[in-house]
Amino acid sequence: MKIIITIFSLFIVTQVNGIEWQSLDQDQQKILKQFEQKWSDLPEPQQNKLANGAQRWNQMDSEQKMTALTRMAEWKKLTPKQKAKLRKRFQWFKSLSPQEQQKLRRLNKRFKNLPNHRKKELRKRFKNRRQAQRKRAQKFNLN
Amino acid sequence: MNKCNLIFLFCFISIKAVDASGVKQPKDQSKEPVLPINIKKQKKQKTSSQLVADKELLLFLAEFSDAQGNWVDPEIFNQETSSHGEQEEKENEDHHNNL
Repeated sequence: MKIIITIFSLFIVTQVNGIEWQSLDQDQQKILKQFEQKWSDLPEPQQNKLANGAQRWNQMDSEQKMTALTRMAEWKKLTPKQKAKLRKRFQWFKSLSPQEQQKLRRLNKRFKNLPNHRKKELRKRFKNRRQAQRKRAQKFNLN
Repeated sequence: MNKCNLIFLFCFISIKAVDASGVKQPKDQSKEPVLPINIKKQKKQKTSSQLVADKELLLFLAEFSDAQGNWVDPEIFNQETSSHGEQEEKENEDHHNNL
């Protein structure tokens, strides 16, 4: 009986502790050094996110890291409503087939490689089109 | 004029000639040396190991990751950017068809 209780307790402790610090690889530990002391106190979902984030960061080259830092800065500027919208959009993206995801990546790359004046022109046209759509929708609602 | 005077005169004229030709003399070494623009840029760019990720960034990277465990740049699924790309592609195709 004692053995069963001990095994059960160990099982519970393991579950509560989540990811053990020692199970992280060296690169992850290096990035997460600041959390080492309080690692076991962190909730498991947060441990998972931090470990995953550290892994992503390790896989990136300096250009990708710079992009991520830029996006992070942009993300910080967003309102909670805008953040929620982007999260929703990401869920939609994840629901797409690999081919559709690839298409979006291709379109993004295409837009990124355009000269600045063309980007500006497209942005302007897109803005005008959206305004026109909004006006049409308002008119439709009034009728 | 003795030999010493002649040597002194020669050195003096040489220094003056160099000054007049516009060749810059080395200035105060304590001042920061002037670097060409491309070297300055290289100095500003941080290497991969110098870039540091804070907690917020790590959580951000984890949040926007695909099933394969890769970070997805929000620009990719940003409606505006993908629409721009699509519009551009369509216009490009139309242009080729018209030709």
